[in-house]
Amino acid sequence: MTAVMASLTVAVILILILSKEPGRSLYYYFVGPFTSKFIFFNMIESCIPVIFSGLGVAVAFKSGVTNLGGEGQIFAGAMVAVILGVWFPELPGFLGMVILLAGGLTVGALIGSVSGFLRMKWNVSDLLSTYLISMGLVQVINYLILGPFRDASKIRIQSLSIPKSYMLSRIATPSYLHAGLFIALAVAVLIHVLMKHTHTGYHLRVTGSNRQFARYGGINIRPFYVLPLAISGALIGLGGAVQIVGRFQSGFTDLTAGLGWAGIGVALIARRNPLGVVPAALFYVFLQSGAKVAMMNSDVTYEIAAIVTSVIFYLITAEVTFAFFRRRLLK
Amino acid sequence: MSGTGIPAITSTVVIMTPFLLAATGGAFSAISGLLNIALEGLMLNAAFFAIVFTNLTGSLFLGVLGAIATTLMLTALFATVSFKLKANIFICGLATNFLAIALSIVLANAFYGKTGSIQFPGMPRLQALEIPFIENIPILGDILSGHNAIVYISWVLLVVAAIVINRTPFGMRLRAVGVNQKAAQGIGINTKRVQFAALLISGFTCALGGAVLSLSLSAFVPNVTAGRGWIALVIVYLGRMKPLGILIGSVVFGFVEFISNNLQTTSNIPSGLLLSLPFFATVIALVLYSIAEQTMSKKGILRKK
Repeated sequence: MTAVMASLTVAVILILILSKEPGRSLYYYFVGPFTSKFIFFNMIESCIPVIFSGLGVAVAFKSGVTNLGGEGQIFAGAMVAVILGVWFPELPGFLGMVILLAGGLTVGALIGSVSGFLRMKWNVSDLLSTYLISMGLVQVINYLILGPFRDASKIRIQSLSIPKSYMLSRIATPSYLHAGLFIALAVAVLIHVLMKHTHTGYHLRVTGSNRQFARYGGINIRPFYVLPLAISGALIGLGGAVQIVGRFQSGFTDLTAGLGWAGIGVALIARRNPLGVVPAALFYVFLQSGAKVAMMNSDVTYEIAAIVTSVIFYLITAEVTFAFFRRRLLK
Repeated sequence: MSGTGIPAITSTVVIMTPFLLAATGGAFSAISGLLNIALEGLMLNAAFFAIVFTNLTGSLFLGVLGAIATTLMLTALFATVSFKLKANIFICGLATNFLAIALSIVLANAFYGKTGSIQFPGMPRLQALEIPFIENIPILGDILSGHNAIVYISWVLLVVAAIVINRTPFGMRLRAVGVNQKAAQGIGINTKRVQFAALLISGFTCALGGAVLSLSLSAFVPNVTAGRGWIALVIVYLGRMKPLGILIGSVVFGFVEFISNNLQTTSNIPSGLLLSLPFFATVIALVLYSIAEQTMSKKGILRKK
């Protein structure tokens, strides 16, 4: 909570320093997202992929592994959805959508498993391998979008589009908010149940908190490098596919735009608790939307949100933040 | 020696410099037992401020100095938050990477009213320096001579690092802290101070590494570091935190990047795919190393608290 308050304070201070019309900027930053239905529902929409990546990272962290590959996994999930949609355009709408989502989920799981397997088999750092594989994939997918799957008929650089019939329905037009929100919420509940109320979840949590203890307790710990990274990747890959069938319909090069990294912040704000990811994601996108609205209506740049976000990252794991500030205040 | 051999070597020497610098400093933090994933952000920060200060002062020397000063400040912030506020160093490292990106964009907008690439016509360029006598030796002269000053500094720093780590009391304390923090504390070493110093050292070398990236382009391009800090981090571990190992690792990854650059112009392989080469090559190197390492040591690269 302290980190959240501190980050908001930093947002205020930054605006006071950088803006020539701080009153106006502050108003649009903090109140702006709530001033119109259109902006508000778009803010809710932008929290959908963040919920998925936040859940993915939360599962990984809770199970004692690290997944820094969110960017690549979202992108890969999205690209596979595009590819499947382009290759199989004739399916009945609902079936097509399900196949696209399943494709994104599967490819995410596969990417995660590779790192998990490398960790299990040869003790390759999952932190480094998830990141490096992800960065490599981003380049490959950029190539696919700019090359073989490019839609040359469009002025904007983008991939071919999936059939309109595969798209999730919009639930609050004219905003972009789509039914993917319900998928995200359902998945959050599902992951909560999995982690809290199942045998597998118990094993994941125990190995996550103390691998040696889990081993002495009779759990075969080796699969618990692969499984959590597979689940983590699957959730994040699914999030990428949802971006395509819910929002964009086609791929483009900056699709991930930090969503994978956002997942890490969100998972930490939520204290790695799957249900907590939902409000944490809302808070996270509020910071971004506020900056967007402020950018459109006053003189601050959008990247103010990025500075505020990094402050959250700095302070979110701080054990003594609160004590520190209290001590400072008393002096 | 074939006709393309010498340019390949000279290009590799130039390309490897940011790796070598970041990895040299990264070795200090790694030896002290810290996983410093902020190398990337520290380099990016320096790349940005090197251009800002060079433009401001008209002097490359002051530009580099400005880059070093600002990067040390960012490192100090990073280290202070993780030690004083007892925050997770790995998450703080990520925060530093994000902050560096955000700062470069916000400040570019505040200073110059624009984002994206920043360059100024007429900005001084890094000059190639010839080393007397050595430049006339065939092959060796091509490898060793005709680079900019920061390239030479990176070599000197590697030697200095080797001496400091292996032959000084500070180096001994550094290694002691890395091997066993509790024991080091027990014999009266202020472990936090040693680790703080190690992080500052990595900030210093990353500053030079970032500065050479942007100054050799005479421009700051967003994401100019392109994962080099992360690859440098891998080099530190592949080189077993030893200066010679780091040198070899930097040469290898410098060469991979050279091949990747070179194939973009000479082959039909799409350049987009080649951009992924350094990353996948790093993963493969990491796997090969881990296979070799596995039997020898169970010590993980990620030290969890």
